[in-house]
Amino acid sequence: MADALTRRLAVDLDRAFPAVVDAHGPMVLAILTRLGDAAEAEDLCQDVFTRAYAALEGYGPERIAQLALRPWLVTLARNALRNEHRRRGRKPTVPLAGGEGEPPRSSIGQPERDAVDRDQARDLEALIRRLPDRQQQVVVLRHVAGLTTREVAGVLGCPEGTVKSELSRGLARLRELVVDQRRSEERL
Amino acid sequence: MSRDRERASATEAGIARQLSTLRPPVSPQLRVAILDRTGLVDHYAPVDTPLGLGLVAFNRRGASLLHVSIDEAEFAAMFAARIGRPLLPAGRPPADVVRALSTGRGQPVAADLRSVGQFQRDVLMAIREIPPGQVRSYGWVAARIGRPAAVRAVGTALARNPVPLLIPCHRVVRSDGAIGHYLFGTEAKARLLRDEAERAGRSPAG
Repeated sequence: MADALTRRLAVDLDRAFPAVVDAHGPMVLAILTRLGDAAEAEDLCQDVFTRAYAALEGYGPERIAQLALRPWLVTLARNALRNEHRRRGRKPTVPLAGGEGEPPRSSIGQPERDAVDRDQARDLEALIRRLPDRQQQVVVLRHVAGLTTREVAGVLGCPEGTVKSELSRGLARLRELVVDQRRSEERL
Repeated sequence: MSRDRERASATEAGIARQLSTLRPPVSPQLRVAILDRTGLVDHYAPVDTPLGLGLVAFNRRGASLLHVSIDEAEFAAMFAARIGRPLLPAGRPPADVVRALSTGRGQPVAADLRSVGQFQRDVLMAIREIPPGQVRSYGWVAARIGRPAAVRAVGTALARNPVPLLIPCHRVVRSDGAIGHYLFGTEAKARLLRDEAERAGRSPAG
């Protein structure tokens, strides 16, 4: 289970920890941004890594060496989100569909493809929020955060098969939402 | 698979690809903030000491390195060799460090002793509470940490005190009354002890 980074961490926590932030920071921040209030994500990200460090300090080398770092950090991130929701007493308010008021983007040339992809990605940010909770979780953990389906299953505590079916349902639902959105934009 | 279904899965694959671009980068500011909160990056600033202008490095846990009569490049090199964490300039030193160095009293300042080994840490912790105006012997320190035979090693540990003045290694002297070594020189040690004794004598609270 131990990868090179985990081994370094077990030998010298202080020197290796910045590399953990570099390697897994984007994943943690992605989860916090896409499953929580994006405006709070950076603060929560600090909390998650501060907690992670404090926990690792208490673990000692042997336990650190056994650690599956990625799923562990994901669990810390999800706990941080749960605590934040509880603290607020409600789910964070999130913007619904994005992209309102943008010019129609028909007949565009190849050089603009990248920009369009970025636009579509931005639309997806908003559309993810409209997925049912469970699908939202698996889609973000698998496709945004980049976990394997097996890691997602471990984190959520359910069989890998369940993750796979939620995932295909989630993607199918996202596709419908994307198609709907395009249609409504074309009508504008 | 039908044409529709094929097209649908191609679209879904495209969506999955775009989702992977929704991973925001960790900005340099966020990275430093995280390392700051875990005490894995230090800041340094000039500070007035009884031995003249010095530089002090510190992080969330406390002061990590102090030296006097040293330029920033030398200090940074010393920090890199002894501590090895990232070091950034700061506007000013922590208030408790300033207070401790200007008055020579007050609460012991928080020190970050992660850079030293267990024996040296024991030695440094044992001498933190020696009040200004008083001295103890190397043998007293050795006995205090339960290593009565390690008198010479105590001397070595004190000579490598990362935060002299804040942890008062100058208040440890030889049992025969000689002043003993000091990392800033014997003359500086004598002057510090003289000043502290004088101030302690003046103040009944000392």
